[in-house]
Amino acid sequence: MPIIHSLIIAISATLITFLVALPVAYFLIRRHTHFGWVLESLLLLPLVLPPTVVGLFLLQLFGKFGFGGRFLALFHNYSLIFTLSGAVLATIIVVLPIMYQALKAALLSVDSNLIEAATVMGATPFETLRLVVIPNAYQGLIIGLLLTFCRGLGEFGASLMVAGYIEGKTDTIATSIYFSIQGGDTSTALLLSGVNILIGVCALLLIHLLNQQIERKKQQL
Amino acid sequence: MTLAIAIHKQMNARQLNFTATLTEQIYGLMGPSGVGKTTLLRIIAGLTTAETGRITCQEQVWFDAAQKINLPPKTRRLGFMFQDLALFPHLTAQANIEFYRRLKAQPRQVDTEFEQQLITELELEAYLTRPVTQLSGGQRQRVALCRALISRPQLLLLDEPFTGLDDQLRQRAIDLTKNVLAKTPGTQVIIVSHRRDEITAFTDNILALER
Repeated sequence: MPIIHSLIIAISATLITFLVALPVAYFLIRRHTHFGWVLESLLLLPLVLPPTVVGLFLLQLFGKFGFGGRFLALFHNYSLIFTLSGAVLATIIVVLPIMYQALKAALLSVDSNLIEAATVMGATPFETLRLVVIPNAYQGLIIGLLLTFCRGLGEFGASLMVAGYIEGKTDTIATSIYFSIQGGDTSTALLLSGVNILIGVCALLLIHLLNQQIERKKQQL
Repeated sequence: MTLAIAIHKQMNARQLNFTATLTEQIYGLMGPSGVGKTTLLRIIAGLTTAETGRITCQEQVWFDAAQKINLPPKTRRLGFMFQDLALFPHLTAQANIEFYRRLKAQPRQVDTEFEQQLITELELEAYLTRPVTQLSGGQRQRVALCRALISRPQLLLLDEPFTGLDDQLRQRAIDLTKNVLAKTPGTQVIIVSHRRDEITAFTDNILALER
Protein backbone atom coordinates (compact mmCIF):
# COMPACT_ATOMS: atom_id res chain seq x y z
CA MET A 1 0.00 0.00 0.00
CA PRO A 2 2.70 2.58 0.77
CA ILE A 3 3.97 2.38 -2.82
CA ILE A 4 0.47 2.84 -4.26
CA HIS A 5 -0.25 5.71 -1.86
CA SER A 6 3.03 7.41 -2.75
CA LEU A 7 2.29 7.01 -6.47
CA ILE A 8 -1.23 8.42 -6.05
CA ILE A 9 0.10 11.40 -4.07
CA ALA A 10 3.05 12.08 -6.39
CA ILE A 11 1.03 11.77 -9.64
CA SER A 12 -1.89 13.88 -8.34
CA ALA A 13 0.41 16.58 -6.95
CA THR A 14 2.48 16.63 -10.14
CA LEU A 15 -0.53 17.04 -12.44
CA ILE A 16 -2.20 19.67 -10.25
CA THR A 17 0.97 21.74 -9.81
CA PHE A 18 1.61 21.53 -13.56
CA LEU A 19 -1.84 22.91 -14.33
CA VAL A 20 -1.36 25.71 -11.76
CA ALA A 21 2.28 26.59 -12.46
CA LEU A 22 2.17 26.58 -16.29
CA PRO A 23 -0.29 29.48 -16.77
CA VAL A 24 1.23 31.41 -13.84
CA ALA A 25 4.81 31.03 -15.16
CA TYR A 26 3.71 31.96 -18.69
CA PHE A 27 1.82 35.01 -17.43
CA LEU A 28 4.72 36.21 -15.26
CA ILE A 29 7.22 35.79 -18.11
CA ARG A 30 5.06 37.63 -20.66
CA ARG A 31 3.70 40.40 -18.46
CA HIS A 32 6.10 42.33 -16.28
CA THR A 33 3.61 43.40 -13.65
CA HIS A 34 4.39 45.28 -10.45
CA PHE A 35 3.02 42.46 -8.28
CA GLY A 36 4.78 39.73 -10.27
CA TRP A 37 7.62 39.37 -7.79
CA VAL A 38 5.14 39.08 -4.91
CA LEU A 39 3.32 36.23 -6.62
CA GLU A 40 6.60 34.55 -7.54
CA SER A 41 7.90 34.89 -3.97
CA LEU A 42 4.72 33.32 -2.61
CA LEU A 43 5.10 30.40 -5.02
CA LEU A 44 8.75 29.90 -4.03
CA LEU A 45 8.24 30.38 -0.28
CA PRO A 46 7.85 26.65 0.54
CA LEU A 47 11.31 26.09 -0.96
CA VAL A 48 12.94 28.08 1.83
CA LEU A 49 10.79 26.69 4.64
CA PRO A 50 11.14 23.36 6.43
CA PRO A 51 8.34 21.01 5.27
CA THR A 52 7.20 20.79 8.88
CA VAL A 53 6.43 24.53 8.83
CA VAL A 54 4.34 24.02 5.69
CA GLY A 55 2.63 21.10 7.44
CA LEU A 56 1.95 23.18 10.55
CA PHE A 57 0.49 25.99 8.44
CA LEU A 58 -1.81 23.52 6.65
CA LEU A 59 -2.83 21.99 9.98
CA GLN A 60 -3.74 25.45 11.25
CA LEU A 61 -5.66 26.26 8.07
CA PHE A 62 -7.44 22.96 7.55
CA GLY A 63 -7.66 21.76 11.16
CA LYS A 64 -10.96 21.62 12.99
CA PHE A 65 -10.85 25.29 13.91
CA GLY A 66 -9.09 26.65 10.83
CA PHE A 67 -10.89 28.64 8.14
CA GLY A 68 -10.41 25.93 5.49
CA GLY A 69 -11.31 23.16 7.93
CA ARG A 70 -14.56 24.83 8.93
CA PHE A 71 -15.42 25.47 5.30
CA LEU A 72 -14.81 21.84 4.27
CA ALA A 73 -16.81 20.63 7.27
CA LEU A 74 -19.89 22.16 5.62
CA PHE A 75 -19.66 19.35 3.02
CA HIS A 76 -20.72 16.22 4.95
CA ASN A 77 -18.28 17.06 7.74
CA TYR A 78 -15.36 16.47 5.37
CA SER A 79 -11.82 16.92 6.69
CA LEU A 80 -8.44 16.82 4.98
CA ILE A 81 -6.57 15.93 8.16
CA PHE A 82 -5.41 12.29 8.36
CA THR A 83 -6.50 11.59 4.76
CA LEU A 84 -4.66 10.86 1.53
CA SER A 85 -6.16 14.08 0.09
CA GLY A 86 -4.45 15.97 2.90
CA ALA A 87 -1.15 14.36 1.93
CA VAL A 88 -1.77 15.38 -1.71
CA LEU A 89 -2.43 18.98 -0.64
CA ALA A 90 0.72 19.07 1.52
CA THR A 91 2.77 17.63 -1.32
CA ILE A 92 1.32 20.16 -3.78
CA ILE A 93 2.49 23.05 -1.59
CA VAL A 94 5.96 21.51 -1.13
CA VAL A 95 6.56 20.67 -4.83
CA LEU A 96 4.97 23.76 -6.36
CA PRO A 97 8.23 25.81 -6.27
CA ILE A 98 10.12 23.00 -8.02
CA MET A 99 7.50 22.73 -10.76
CA TYR A 100 7.32 26.52 -11.13
CA GLN A 101 11.10 26.91 -11.45
CA ALA A 102 11.38 24.05 -13.97
CA LEU A 103 8.50 25.33 -16.10
CA LYS A 104 9.80 28.89 -16.00
CA ALA A 105 13.21 27.70 -17.24
CA ALA A 106 11.56 25.63 -19.99
CA LEU A 107 9.36 28.52 -21.15
CA LEU A 108 12.27 30.97 -21.09
CA SER A 109 14.25 28.62 -23.33
CA VAL A 110 11.82 29.31 -26.20
CA ASP A 111 13.16 31.98 -28.57
CA SER A 112 11.17 35.16 -27.89
CA ASN A 113 11.14 35.91 -31.63
CA LEU A 114 8.95 32.84 -32.17
CA ILE A 115 6.46 34.22 -29.68
CA GLU A 116 6.55 37.63 -31.31
CA ALA A 117 6.16 36.11 -34.78
CA ALA A 118 3.01 34.32 -33.61
CA THR A 119 1.76 37.54 -31.98
CA VAL A 120 2.23 39.55 -35.19
CA MET A 121 0.32 36.86 -37.08
CA GLY A 122 -2.63 37.29 -34.73
CA ALA A 123 -2.22 34.48 -32.20
CA THR A 124 -3.77 35.06 -28.78
CA PRO A 125 -1.53 34.42 -25.74
CA PHE A 126 -3.25 31.04 -25.24
CA GLU A 127 -2.79 30.09 -28.91
CA THR A 128 0.86 31.13 -28.72
CA LEU A 129 1.29 28.95 -25.62
CA ARG A 130 -0.47 25.97 -27.24
CA LEU A 131 0.88 26.21 -30.77
CA VAL A 132 4.37 27.62 -30.30
CA VAL A 133 5.64 27.61 -26.72
CA ILE A 134 4.62 24.13 -25.53
CA PRO A 135 5.78 22.30 -28.70
CA ASN A 136 9.16 24.02 -28.44
CA ALA A 137 9.55 23.56 -24.69
CA TYR A 138 8.02 20.14 -24.18
CA GLN A 139 11.25 18.39 -23.21
CA GLY A 140 11.84 21.00 -20.50
CA LEU A 141 8.24 20.69 -19.39
CA ILE A 142 8.59 16.89 -19.10
CA ILE A 143 11.77 17.37 -17.08
CA GLY A 144 9.75 19.60 -14.75
CA LEU A 145 7.07 16.92 -14.45
CA LEU A 146 9.66 14.22 -13.66
CA LEU A 147 11.55 16.30 -11.08
CA THR A 148 8.31 17.24 -9.37
CA PHE A 149 7.09 13.65 -9.42
CA CYS A 150 10.34 12.42 -7.83
CA ARG A 151 10.20 15.09 -5.13
CA GLY A 152 6.54 14.28 -4.52
CA LEU A 153 7.34 10.60 -4.21
CA GLY A 154 9.80 11.30 -1.39
CA GLU A 155 7.73 13.94 0.42
CA PHE A 156 7.80 13.30 4.17
CA GLY A 157 7.58 16.20 6.61
CA ALA A 158 4.53 18.15 5.49
CA SER A 159 2.58 15.01 4.55
CA LEU A 160 3.26 13.43 7.92
CA MET A 161 2.10 16.58 9.73
CA VAL A 162 -1.17 16.73 7.76
CA ALA A 163 -1.98 13.10 6.95
CA GLY A 164 -0.13 11.30 9.74
CA TYR A 165 0.84 7.64 9.43
CA ILE A 166 -2.16 5.34 9.32
CA GLU A 167 -1.32 1.92 7.91
CA GLY A 168 -3.41 1.08 4.86
CA LYS A 169 -4.80 4.62 4.74
CA THR A 170 -2.13 7.32 4.66
CA ASP A 171 1.15 5.41 4.76
CA THR A 172 3.61 6.36 2.02
CA ILE A 173 7.05 5.07 1.03
CA ALA A 174 8.82 7.83 2.99
CA THR A 175 6.72 7.57 6.16
CA SER A 176 6.76 3.74 6.03
CA ILE A 177 10.56 3.70 5.85
CA TYR A 178 10.71 5.95 8.91
CA PHE A 179 8.23 3.96 10.98
CA SER A 180 9.70 0.60 9.84
CA ILE A 181 13.08 1.68 11.16
CA GLN A 182 11.46 2.92 14.36
CA GLY A 183 9.84 -0.48 14.73
CA GLY A 184 13.05 -2.37 13.95
CA ASP A 185 11.82 -3.70 10.58
CA THR A 186 14.95 -2.91 8.53
CA SER A 187 14.14 -5.27 5.66
CA THR A 188 10.84 -3.48 4.83
CA ALA A 189 12.65 -0.14 5.06
CA LEU A 190 15.36 -1.38 2.69
CA LEU A 191 12.82 -2.83 0.23
CA LEU A 192 10.86 0.42 0.10
CA SER A 193 14.08 2.42 -0.23
CA GLY A 194 15.08 0.20 -3.15
CA VAL A 195 11.78 0.84 -4.92
CA ASN A 196 12.18 4.58 -4.40
CA ILE A 197 15.77 4.52 -5.67
CA LEU A 198 14.71 2.49 -8.74
CA ILE A 199 11.96 4.97 -9.65
CA GLY A 200 14.37 7.87 -9.04
CA VAL A 201 17.09 6.37 -11.24
CA CYS A 202 14.57 5.75 -14.06
CA ALA A 203 13.41 9.35 -13.81
CA LEU A 204 16.99 10.67 -13.87
CA LEU A 205 17.75 8.50 -16.91
CA LEU A 206 14.73 9.95 -18.70
CA ILE A 207 15.83 13.48 -17.74
CA HIS A 208 19.29 12.74 -19.13
CA LEU A 209 17.81 11.52 -22.45
CA LEU A 210 15.57 14.57 -22.66
CA ASN A 211 18.51 16.89 -21.97
CA GLN A 212 20.42 15.21 -24.80
CA GLN A 213 17.41 15.77 -27.08
CA ILE A 214 17.32 19.46 -26.09
CA GLU A 215 21.04 19.82 -26.90
CA ARG A 216 20.54 18.15 -30.30
CA LYS A 217 17.63 20.49 -31.05
CA LYS A 218 19.76 23.52 -30.17
CA GLN A 219 22.48 22.35 -32.56
CA GLN A 220 19.92 21.86 -35.35
CA LEU A 221 18.74 25.48 -35.14
CA MET B 1 -0.81 54.06 -49.02
CA THR B 2 0.56 56.50 -46.45
CA LEU B 3 2.46 55.51 -43.35
CA ALA B 4 3.30 58.43 -41.07
CA ILE B 5 5.81 57.87 -38.30
CA ALA B 6 7.02 60.34 -35.68
CA ILE B 7 8.49 58.62 -32.64
CA HIS B 8 10.99 59.09 -29.87
CA LYS B 9 12.42 56.27 -27.79
CA GLN B 10 15.15 56.19 -25.18
CA MET B 11 17.47 53.23 -25.89
CA ASN B 12 19.98 52.64 -23.09
CA ALA B 13 22.48 55.50 -23.54
CA ARG B 14 21.09 56.63 -26.92
CA GLN B 15 17.92 58.15 -28.24
CA LEU B 16 15.97 56.99 -31.25
CA ASN B 17 14.20 59.80 -33.04
CA PHE B 18 12.51 59.14 -36.34
CA THR B 19 10.05 61.16 -38.38
CA ALA B 20 8.92 60.31 -41.90
CA THR B 21 5.85 60.09 -44.07
CA LEU B 22 6.05 57.15 -46.44
CA THR B 23 3.93 57.16 -49.57
CA GLU B 24 5.91 55.02 -52.03
CA GLN B 25 5.64 51.22 -52.13
CA ILE B 26 9.18 50.31 -51.07
CA TYR B 27 11.59 52.00 -48.66
CA GLY B 28 15.01 50.98 -47.51
CA LEU B 29 16.16 51.72 -43.96
CA MET B 30 19.89 51.99 -43.44
CA GLY B 31 22.18 52.85 -40.60
CA PRO B 32 25.15 51.58 -38.61
CA SER B 33 24.82 48.65 -36.21
CA GLY B 34 23.05 49.44 -32.97
CA VAL B 35 21.50 52.67 -34.21
CA GLY B 36 17.97 51.31 -33.72
CA LYS B 37 16.85 49.96 -37.11
CA THR B 38 15.33 46.81 -35.65
CA THR B 39 13.88 48.77 -32.72
CA LEU B 40 12.17 51.11 -35.19
CA LEU B 41 10.61 48.14 -37.03
CA ARG B 42 9.50 46.67 -33.70
CA ILE B 43 7.89 49.99 -32.73
CA ILE B 44 6.05 50.12 -36.06
CA ALA B 45 4.91 46.51 -35.54
CA GLY B 46 3.72 47.22 -31.98
CA LEU B 47 6.21 44.83 -30.38
CA THR B 48 8.00 47.68 -28.61
CA THR B 49 6.51 50.91 -27.37
CA ALA B 50 8.00 54.36 -27.95
CA GLU B 51 7.96 56.93 -25.17
CA THR B 52 6.39 59.62 -27.30
CA GLY B 53 5.10 59.99 -30.82
CA ARG B 54 2.44 58.86 -33.24
CA ILE B 55 2.15 56.29 -36.01
CA THR B 56 -0.71 56.33 -38.48
CA CYS B 57 -1.36 54.05 -41.41
CA GLN B 58 -3.98 55.07 -43.97
CA GLU B 59 -5.56 57.52 -41.49
CA GLN B 60 -5.81 54.74 -38.86
CA VAL B 61 -3.95 55.59 -35.66
CA TRP B 62 -1.74 52.66 -34.68
CA PHE B 63 0.08 54.44 -31.90
CA ASP B 64 -0.40 57.75 -30.17
CA ALA B 65 1.47 58.22 -26.91
CA ALA B 66 -0.44 61.39 -26.00
CA GLN B 67 -3.83 59.75 -26.47
CA LYS B 68 -2.60 56.43 -25.02
CA ILE B 69 -3.52 54.56 -28.20
CA ASN B 70 -1.43 51.49 -28.96
CA LEU B 71 -3.03 48.94 -31.27
CA PRO B 72 -1.86 45.36 -30.69
CA PRO B 73 0.32 43.91 -33.47
CA LYS B 74 -2.38 41.61 -34.83
CA THR B 75 -4.73 44.48 -35.65
CA ARG B 76 -2.08 46.43 -37.58
CA ARG B 77 -2.32 44.09 -40.60
CA LEU B 78 1.37 43.76 -41.17
CA GLY B 79 3.86 41.08 -42.07
CA PHE B 80 7.17 40.89 -40.24
CA MET B 81 10.19 38.95 -41.46
CA PHE B 82 12.51 38.76 -38.47
CA GLN B 83 16.28 38.95 -38.81
CA ASP B 84 16.65 35.36 -37.62
CA LEU B 85 13.51 34.47 -39.63
CA ALA B 86 11.71 33.14 -36.51
CA LEU B 87 10.37 30.11 -38.32
CA PHE B 88 8.62 27.65 -36.02
CA PRO B 89 11.19 24.84 -35.80
CA HIS B 90 8.66 22.14 -34.86
CA LEU B 91 6.66 22.68 -38.04
CA THR B 92 7.14 21.93 -41.73
CA ALA B 93 7.57 24.70 -44.28
CA GLN B 94 3.92 24.40 -45.26
CA ALA B 95 2.70 24.49 -41.65
CA ASN B 96 4.79 27.61 -41.07
CA ILE B 97 3.30 29.30 -44.13
CA GLU B 98 -0.23 28.24 -43.14
CA PHE B 99 0.16 29.07 -39.44
CA TYR B 100 -2.69 31.58 -39.81
CA ARG B 101 -5.11 28.75 -40.45
CA ARG B 102 -4.49 27.35 -36.95
CA LEU B 103 -5.64 30.57 -35.30
CA LYS B 104 -9.28 30.82 -34.25
CA ALA B 105 -9.69 34.56 -33.98
CA GLN B 106 -7.92 35.35 -37.21
CA PRO B 107 -9.24 38.60 -38.67
CA ARG B 108 -7.35 38.16 -41.93
CA GLN B 109 -8.51 35.84 -44.67
CA VAL B 110 -5.87 33.72 -46.33
CA ASP B 111 -6.53 33.46 -50.03
CA THR B 112 -5.71 29.91 -51.22
CA GLU B 113 -5.08 31.02 -54.79
CA PHE B 114 -2.68 33.74 -53.63
CA GLU B 115 -0.94 31.28 -51.34
CA GLN B 116 -0.39 28.87 -54.21
CA GLN B 117 0.87 31.72 -56.40
CA LEU B 118 3.35 32.79 -53.71
CA ILE B 119 4.61 29.24 -53.21
CA THR B 120 5.15 28.89 -56.97
CA GLU B 121 6.82 32.30 -57.33
CA LEU B 122 9.17 31.53 -54.44
CA GLU B 123 9.88 28.03 -55.79
CA LEU B 124 8.88 26.33 -52.57
CA GLU B 125 6.77 23.42 -53.88
CA ALA B 126 9.50 20.82 -53.43
CA TYR B 127 10.21 21.75 -49.80
CA LEU B 128 6.73 22.20 -48.38
CA THR B 129 6.58 18.92 -46.48
CA ARG B 130 10.09 19.22 -45.03
CA PRO B 131 10.63 20.44 -41.45
CA VAL B 132 12.14 23.94 -41.61
CA THR B 133 15.13 22.73 -39.59
CA GLN B 134 16.09 20.60 -42.61
CA LEU B 135 16.01 23.48 -45.10
CA SER B 136 18.99 25.48 -46.32
CA GLY B 137 19.41 29.17 -45.48
CA GLY B 138 18.01 30.31 -48.82
CA GLN B 139 15.00 28.00 -48.58
CA ARG B 140 14.29 29.15 -45.03
CA GLN B 141 14.50 32.77 -46.13
CA ARG B 142 11.90 32.14 -48.84
CA VAL B 143 9.58 30.30 -46.42
CA ALA B 144 9.81 33.27 -44.01
CA LEU B 145 9.03 35.73 -46.84
CA CYS B 146 6.09 33.62 -47.98
CA ARG B 147 4.76 33.44 -44.40
CA ALA B 148 5.08 37.22 -43.97
CA LEU B 149 3.23 37.92 -47.23
CA ILE B 150 0.56 35.24 -47.12
CA SER B 151 -2.11 37.38 -45.46
CA ARG B 152 -1.62 40.23 -47.96
CA PRO B 153 -0.43 42.67 -45.27
CA GLN B 154 -0.78 46.40 -45.86
CA LEU B 155 2.76 46.80 -44.52
CA LEU B 156 5.64 44.35 -44.81
CA LEU B 157 8.69 44.79 -42.57
CA LEU B 158 11.83 42.95 -43.68
CA ASP B 159 14.63 43.00 -41.10
CA GLU B 160 17.97 42.16 -42.74
CA PRO B 161 16.22 39.62 -44.97
CA PHE B 162 19.32 38.42 -46.82
CA THR B 163 21.72 38.07 -43.89
CA GLY B 164 23.61 34.79 -43.78
CA LEU B 165 23.29 34.04 -47.50
CA ASP B 166 26.34 33.78 -49.73
CA ASP B 167 26.62 36.17 -52.70
CA GLN B 168 25.06 33.80 -55.22
CA LEU B 169 22.13 32.86 -52.97
CA ARG B 170 21.69 36.50 -51.94
CA GLN B 171 21.28 37.60 -55.56
CA ARG B 172 18.82 34.77 -56.21
CA ALA B 173 16.86 35.68 -53.05
CA ILE B 174 16.82 39.36 -54.04
CA ASP B 175 15.52 38.50 -57.54
CA LEU B 176 12.76 36.25 -56.18
CA THR B 177 11.78 38.82 -53.53
CA LYS B 178 11.66 41.64 -56.12
CA ASN B 179 9.49 39.48 -58.32
CA VAL B 180 7.05 38.71 -55.54
CA LEU B 181 6.88 42.31 -54.26
CA ALA B 182 6.14 43.51 -57.81
CA LYS B 183 3.07 41.28 -57.75
CA THR B 184 1.79 42.64 -54.43
CA PRO B 185 1.43 46.35 -55.19
CA GLY B 186 -1.00 46.90 -52.30
CA THR B 187 1.70 46.08 -49.76
CA GLN B 188 4.03 48.82 -48.59
CA VAL B 189 7.49 47.53 -47.72
CA ILE B 190 10.29 48.67 -45.43
CA ILE B 191 13.54 46.76 -45.89
CA VAL B 192 16.25 47.08 -43.27
CA SER B 193 19.79 46.34 -44.34
CA HIS B 194 23.30 47.48 -43.55
CA ARG B 195 24.21 46.90 -47.21
CA ARG B 196 23.36 49.68 -49.63
CA ASP B 197 23.45 47.36 -52.67
CA GLU B 198 20.71 45.17 -51.15
CA ILE B 199 18.46 48.18 -50.72
CA THR B 200 19.18 49.83 -54.05
CA ALA B 201 18.25 46.55 -55.72
CA PHE B 202 14.69 47.32 -54.59
CA THR B 203 14.35 51.08 -54.31
CA ASP B 204 16.00 54.48 -54.38
CA ASN B 205 13.89 55.60 -51.42
CA ILE B 206 16.41 55.33 -48.64
CA LEU B 207 15.75 56.30 -45.05
CA ALA B 208 18.93 56.76 -43.05
CA LEU B 209 19.22 56.43 -39.29
CA GLU B 210 22.25 58.16 -37.81
CA ARG B 211 23.86 58.14 -34.41
